[in-house]
Amino acid sequence: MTTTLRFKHLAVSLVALATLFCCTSIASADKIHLKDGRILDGRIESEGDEYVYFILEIGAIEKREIFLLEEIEKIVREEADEDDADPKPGDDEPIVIPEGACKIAYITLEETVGPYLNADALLHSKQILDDLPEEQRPDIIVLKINSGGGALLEVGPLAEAIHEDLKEDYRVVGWIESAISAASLTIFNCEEIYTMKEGNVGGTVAYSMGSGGATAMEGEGLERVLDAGKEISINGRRNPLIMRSMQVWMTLSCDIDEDGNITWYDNDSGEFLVSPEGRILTLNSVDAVKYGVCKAITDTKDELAKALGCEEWVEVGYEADQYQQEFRENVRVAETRASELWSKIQIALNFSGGTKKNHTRQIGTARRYLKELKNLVRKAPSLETYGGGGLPPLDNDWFRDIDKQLREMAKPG
Amino acid sequence: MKNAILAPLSIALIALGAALAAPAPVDARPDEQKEAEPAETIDRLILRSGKIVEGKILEETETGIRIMVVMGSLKAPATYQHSQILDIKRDLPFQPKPVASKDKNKGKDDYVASRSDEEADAILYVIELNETFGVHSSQTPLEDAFEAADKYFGDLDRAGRVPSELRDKHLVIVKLDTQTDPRQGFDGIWRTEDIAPVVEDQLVDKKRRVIFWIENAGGGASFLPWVSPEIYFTNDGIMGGIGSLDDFDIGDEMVNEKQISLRLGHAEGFAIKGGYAEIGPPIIRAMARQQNWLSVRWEGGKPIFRAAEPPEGEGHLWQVLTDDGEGDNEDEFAFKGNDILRIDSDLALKLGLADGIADDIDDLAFELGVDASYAEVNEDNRANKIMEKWEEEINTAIENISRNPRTPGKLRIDYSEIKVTGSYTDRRKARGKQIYILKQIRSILTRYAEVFDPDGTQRAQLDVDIEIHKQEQIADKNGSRRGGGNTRGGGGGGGLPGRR
Repeated sequence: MTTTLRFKHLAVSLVALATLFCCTSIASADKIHLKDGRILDGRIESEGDEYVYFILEIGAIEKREIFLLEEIEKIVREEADEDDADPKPGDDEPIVIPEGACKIAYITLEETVGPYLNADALLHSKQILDDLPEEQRPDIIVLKINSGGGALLEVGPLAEAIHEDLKEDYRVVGWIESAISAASLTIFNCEEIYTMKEGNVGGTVAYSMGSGGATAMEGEGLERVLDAGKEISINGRRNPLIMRSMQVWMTLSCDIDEDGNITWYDNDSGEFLVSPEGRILTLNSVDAVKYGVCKAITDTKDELAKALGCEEWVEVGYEADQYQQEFRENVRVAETRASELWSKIQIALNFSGGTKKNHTRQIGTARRYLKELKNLVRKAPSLETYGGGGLPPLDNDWFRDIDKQLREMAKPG
Repeated sequence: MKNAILAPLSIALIALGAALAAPAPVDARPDEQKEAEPAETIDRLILRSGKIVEGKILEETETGIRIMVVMGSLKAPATYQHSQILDIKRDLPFQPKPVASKDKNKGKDDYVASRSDEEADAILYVIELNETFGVHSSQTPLEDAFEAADKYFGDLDRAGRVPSELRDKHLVIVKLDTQTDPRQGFDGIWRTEDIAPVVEDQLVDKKRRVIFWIENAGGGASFLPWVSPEIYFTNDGIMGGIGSLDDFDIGDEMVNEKQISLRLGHAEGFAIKGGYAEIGPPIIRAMARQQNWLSVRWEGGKPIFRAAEPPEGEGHLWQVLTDDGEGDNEDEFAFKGNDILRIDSDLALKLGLADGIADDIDDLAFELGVDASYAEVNEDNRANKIMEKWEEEINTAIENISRNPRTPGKLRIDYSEIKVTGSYTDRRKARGKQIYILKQIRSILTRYAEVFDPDGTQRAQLDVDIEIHKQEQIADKNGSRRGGGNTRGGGGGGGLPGRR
């Protein structure tokens, strides 16, 4: 089978995918047997004399990797066949929803807040759920979070997305694997939070990193961040002192009465010293439940569903999470490649001396790399705000500016 | 220095090991025993691990019970902490057990090769993790090693789980004599976060019993055993090397505290996940920060912790496990005293972290309660061959690509020795060789990315270097066509602003 044919087949599949919406993804068409013993499923995107660009398929995730021919034992090329595709969540198997069963959609929120854990992406996932037929639309959205934090800039939009959009239409539940810093602010918008055994939440000190090291936020900036913490705590109906002790040094203690009601103190007068002076609070799962931040420890979807009062439940809306996974993968690829492409643009310019023909050719090469970078950012739109690979926000203005400079360089004289 | 009042509990267990290994029984033969002690009663300890120990209780202390354990015709003393004991049955009528099917005089190797080991009550598959954790043992070989164990046992059902009736029979033992790079200190935990899911997959998804056996679990490796509810130590076993968090400094005290706090949150998660919710967090906090106190007293054999000095006047009730290392409390050698908590075998047992102490596989089998009839997988143990092969490959990779200026890798040396001089053809060949070596390095980095280049930055830099050599070659070629010599570096072009 020629490359052309394969691409044609691919295009047909993609059309089908778009039309059927929840239908199958494309089956793995090629296999690469590596000399280290690994066998990789996916499809060959392009080939050179010494390398192969391969789209790895890992579950619902696609990842582009380059392999040198010397690393490869053999390549097995197969006709892509949609019928042979392994059933994946969201495939066109009819979803059987028993009467009275809870419909739960799980959305994973992972990696750096801002570029990866992103409000626009979350709203896009919500839209996917909104667009489902009514009988498949979830009763509950579980936001499963595993993030070490990130950009404060994204905290506001995420709060708005969860508190004003998601909670407006759905019962929204947080489920913590790890929620540190900006991720803790994100999940605190949920009134109902559960945690996995390994869960942790806190460590929310806002800071900036400069050449001299880290500097904790101070002054007006800090006040704004503390206000945001307070507002978010109120969104999630928690005492704001808890979040504050995650953000700045303060003593936090509490009393717990026999009914489990908790009274908080910003000093050590309570029976339980939750965070002593000079420490920043991060709660482990046991303490998060003990101090009422989380409702219970649940390690599996089934345990969580039961804790939510769903004796019978079905998972719906896989596509919403599939979008998150693809979004994160696109950002990852774009971030890694951005630095490399920028370096290659600089190299092309450094070698643009000599003949006019060489100059034109190198400028053309630089513009081609720039275009490739722009295409990557198009699939990873959060980089328009946050940049990637050491580059500033990669928005339209930036691309226009760089392209203009390259065109200027290409002019004679 | 407020040193601990640790009792040398291991002595009894050493004695027990010795008794087991001894060729002759230390007591009477069964027949004689029957005649001599017809009306004998025994005491029975039911341990939290599920094991049942029978014998005569010799002594009960605040912390544990010393019992003369009866094993067929043998007897030997052993000590169990109250924290290990679920129930005690006293003065039960003695009923001699039938003689065990395993001939103790047989060597371990007699049980290998064929799957005749299925006749044994338990099969122990030992996977050894040695050298640098996260480098010489890593997620890929460990996953392969577990897969080899799965294949050997051939016991997974259609759901990919070990059937309940085989869970006490097919046991994987992970023996640790490893630590992360000491320079990483506590931050070795991030490598453990990469590797631990491989074990968790076995424990949680496959329902396989994975038992940790610790000789040395240092740095990041000290977090790994916590994911399993079953931990054993060797007599000299030690867990620690993470007491560096107080040294954490990225320029701002509050930000330091944030970073320390979130790290502890992750670490405590390991312990809670493995079922050590009560003892794990206080122990880990004391292991991680020198300034943290940890005292303990015992209530019904259970440890009650206090993250401070013992209250005034109650010093006799408490045992100080670690002090703040300040002033008079400062130890002469920071890593030998109690300024930073390290867990040795005695303490691990006492605190209920370890289920037992075992110096060899026979001891371990006894501690696991399978000593009557067990087999160890030896020659068919592919898992250890996988781990050894990975170790060798990693060492070879380091020999080739090391960036350490004092011991640079062979490929790095070869690359640096290439001179791009001479005729155009010589220069072209030299650049071709440069590119070839860079690609070789890149290939090694790809193969062992999880160890050497997890985020791909090194490979991205190599791609850039390769691009530079290619451009140099094009420029040289253009220069040659114009009749000029070496035009390395092209020239004349301009850079762009843009990188922040």
